[in-house]
Amino acid sequence: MKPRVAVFSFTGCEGCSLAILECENELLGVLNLVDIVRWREAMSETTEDIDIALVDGSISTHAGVKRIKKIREMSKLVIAIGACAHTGGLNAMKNKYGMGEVKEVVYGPDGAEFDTIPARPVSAVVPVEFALPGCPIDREEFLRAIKELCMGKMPKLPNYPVCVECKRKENVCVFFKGQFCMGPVIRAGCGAICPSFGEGCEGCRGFIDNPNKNAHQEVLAEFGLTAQEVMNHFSMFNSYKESEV
Amino acid sequence: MTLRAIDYQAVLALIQSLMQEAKVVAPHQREGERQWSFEEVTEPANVCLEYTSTVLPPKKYAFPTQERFLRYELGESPKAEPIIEAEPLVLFGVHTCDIYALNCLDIAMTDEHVDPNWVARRKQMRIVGVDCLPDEYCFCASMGTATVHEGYDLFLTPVDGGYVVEVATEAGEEMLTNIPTKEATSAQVAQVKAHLNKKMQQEHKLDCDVSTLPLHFSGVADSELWEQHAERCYSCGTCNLVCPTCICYDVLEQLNLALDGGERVRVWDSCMLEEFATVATGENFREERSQRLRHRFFRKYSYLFTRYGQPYCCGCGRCVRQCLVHIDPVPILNDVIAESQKGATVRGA
Amino acid sequence: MALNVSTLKAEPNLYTPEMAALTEVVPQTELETLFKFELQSGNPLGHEPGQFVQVSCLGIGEAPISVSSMPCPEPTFDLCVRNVGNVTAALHNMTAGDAVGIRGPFGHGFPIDALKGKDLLFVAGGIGLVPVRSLIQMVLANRDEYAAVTILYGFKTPGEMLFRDEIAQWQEREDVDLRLTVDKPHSDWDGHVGVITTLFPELEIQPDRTKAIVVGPPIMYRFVLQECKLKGIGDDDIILSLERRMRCGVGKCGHCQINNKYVCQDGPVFTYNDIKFMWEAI
Repeated sequence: MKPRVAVFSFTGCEGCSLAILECENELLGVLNLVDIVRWREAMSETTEDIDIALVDGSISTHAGVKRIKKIREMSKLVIAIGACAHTGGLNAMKNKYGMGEVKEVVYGPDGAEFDTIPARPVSAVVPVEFALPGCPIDREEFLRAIKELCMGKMPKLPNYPVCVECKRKENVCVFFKGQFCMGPVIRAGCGAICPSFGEGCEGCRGFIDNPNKNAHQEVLAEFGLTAQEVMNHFSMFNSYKESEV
Repeated sequence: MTLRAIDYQAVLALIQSLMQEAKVVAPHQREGERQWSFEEVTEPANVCLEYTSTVLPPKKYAFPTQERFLRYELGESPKAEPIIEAEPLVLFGVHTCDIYALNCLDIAMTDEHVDPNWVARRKQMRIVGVDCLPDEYCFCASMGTATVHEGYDLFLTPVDGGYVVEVATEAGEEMLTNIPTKEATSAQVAQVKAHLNKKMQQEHKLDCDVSTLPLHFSGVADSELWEQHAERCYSCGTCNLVCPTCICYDVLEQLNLALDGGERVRVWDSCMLEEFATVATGENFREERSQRLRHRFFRKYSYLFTRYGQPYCCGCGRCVRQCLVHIDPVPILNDVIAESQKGATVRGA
Repeated sequence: MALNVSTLKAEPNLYTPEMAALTEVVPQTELETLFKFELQSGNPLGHEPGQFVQVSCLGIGEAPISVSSMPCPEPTFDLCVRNVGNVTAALHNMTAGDAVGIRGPFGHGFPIDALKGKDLLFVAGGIGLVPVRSLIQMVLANRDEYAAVTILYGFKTPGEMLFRDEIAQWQEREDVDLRLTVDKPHSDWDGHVGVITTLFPELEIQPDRTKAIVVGPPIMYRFVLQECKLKGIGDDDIILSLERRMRCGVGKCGHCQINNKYVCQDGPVFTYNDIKFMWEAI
């Protein structure tokens, strides 16, 4: 019996579910392993009998809270995919403002009736078995996770920083090229894709378990960032705080 | 050992002739200042023989950053077979520190059990060394690796008008067939000696003779110095991953999409990473960064030194050159030496 | 002096597992299961008690597991496995006829010759009994080569007791002094209660002719070692087995290093004397 997989989207650009469709060469192989049974972006059928729910987007509305709880009830495994679902992502940047203020800024005077609450990762609302990080998710990592789940193995994220993958690729450290990078404190698994293309890591995959944040603040400052810029680097993808919701 | 003189054009001709029969890899300039890496030569003139240090050591050609070593089929009767991939290779322009490191790893990789993939690649490898002038991070003079006596076929030292080439092996002799060389003059040989003398003048140095290093480690396990130095450490593994004498690796499964077979690969690992010593039950035998930093130093300058009779550090300085928080083995080793001498004084008093 | 690699004989199959068929699954506890295997080559595994093998579930991974049966001329052997990681979970999903890959045996086992003629004190905590069982089987099969045999075995709850049928047989033997204990009182248990060290005061030990074989979780060692020393057993006469993360099993990958020892090569069996100055050992 092939696992029955459904894909759900919440607040976000849905780029992560799109990233699945972009596994063009492998998509047929994936469909040999799993049955896709529900996916707004790719099909019209629907069902409530789900083995694996892949969820992208953060939870940022009351309606979203209700819907994710329902999804949790009908799914054996819930897997958060992408930064928004994994850490709250960019969406959580709004959390440090009042929701009234946020609605005012975005929608003007008519905003009051919109349903919005501080954005939170899926795991802050319902238990999640696993999360695939990244903005967007990494194709290789997604395919590996699917293969492992089909083999009965729970996927595991690396608990080491992006620097490891950068070094294995023999990238010249972007700091030495005058750029700034969150790589030393951010979870690897993306193949150090941004530094490999000459851009500093922005932290979309979230922190490793025990990042040395103090050391990194000092390094960013040493290479010329102001305190505010250092904060911005730390908070871009990782600003979600339980205390703010 | 014979010494010949070879001019720059003849060096280019040598690279060109080697490219006819094997893959030749050599240092190339990277984007950014003072960054080089070993890459396959496509145009001899692009080879950069005057360089300080490459990001990764040439070890990557004997022990790739990611190497598949087992192929398997699943299904009714699963089976597995080794993958051993090797090809004729010339490492051109290798510094003494990196040659020393490859010699070190020959010992570790063949001790008790002979690693088949390492040996297959090393057997097909020829090495042309080149001498260098150290930068502020190098400490090869202290480590005794500013010169090496084996582990290369040819060795080039820059002199006026080109290089003096030491022909160390028969394979080296063969490489020079058809390449114009001359008898090295006594003035050129004197320049080789002068070059070495200059190379040995390093400010970045140990406060003891390298042969006594393991002795200094005997009483410093509980020292506060490990926590002090680990305070700013990311535990990111960079120091290990750029190290020419590190061989720790992790093993990963790469299943094919049909789930009917796959490959097993090994990838460079690092004892500085948090989960390096974690077992399946979750117990981590080196939970603290300071414990991992201590292990890294003990392994290089005490455990493997004692086990194999030579330090597992070649003084290349890559670890500190690449470290964003400037964790430098030299001051740490000097702290170890100072601490052990302090202890000795107290005990002797 | 550098090695001349061109003269070295590589071991082409150093990392290639040999296939073995799962012949029988014997449930033990909620978490642990005993698996019986037969090598497809038809050759015996050729292990010593205390050695381990690298078990491959191809596609899932490889894990080091102690052999828990005594050496035998047949191609069969037992592994008793706790379901804690990916590989062990995959093993628990297997049924008779399925195949695994085996590399090894690796490492140094128990020093059999040094045990001969001695009083043996086995101290096993929890799944520490797994490697020890191999040695106990061998000792009991050659009982007249050893003097007194005492086995202490402790577990947290009665449900965690391994090898029940076999232990019942040991219990019947007059030439074995077997003492079991559970950590805390339990409704299913009317035997001795208390951690394993509480069995020590009543033991009569002749320290000059006793070898203690101690295997258990890391926490157990510190306390049991203290009891052994109180009984006057010498550091060289206390033998233990250590567990570490392993990848290669042959002293290359670096994961199992404890100070200057590789558990996979120099161990997993050590004397207390070997490791007492190694701050990473216990």
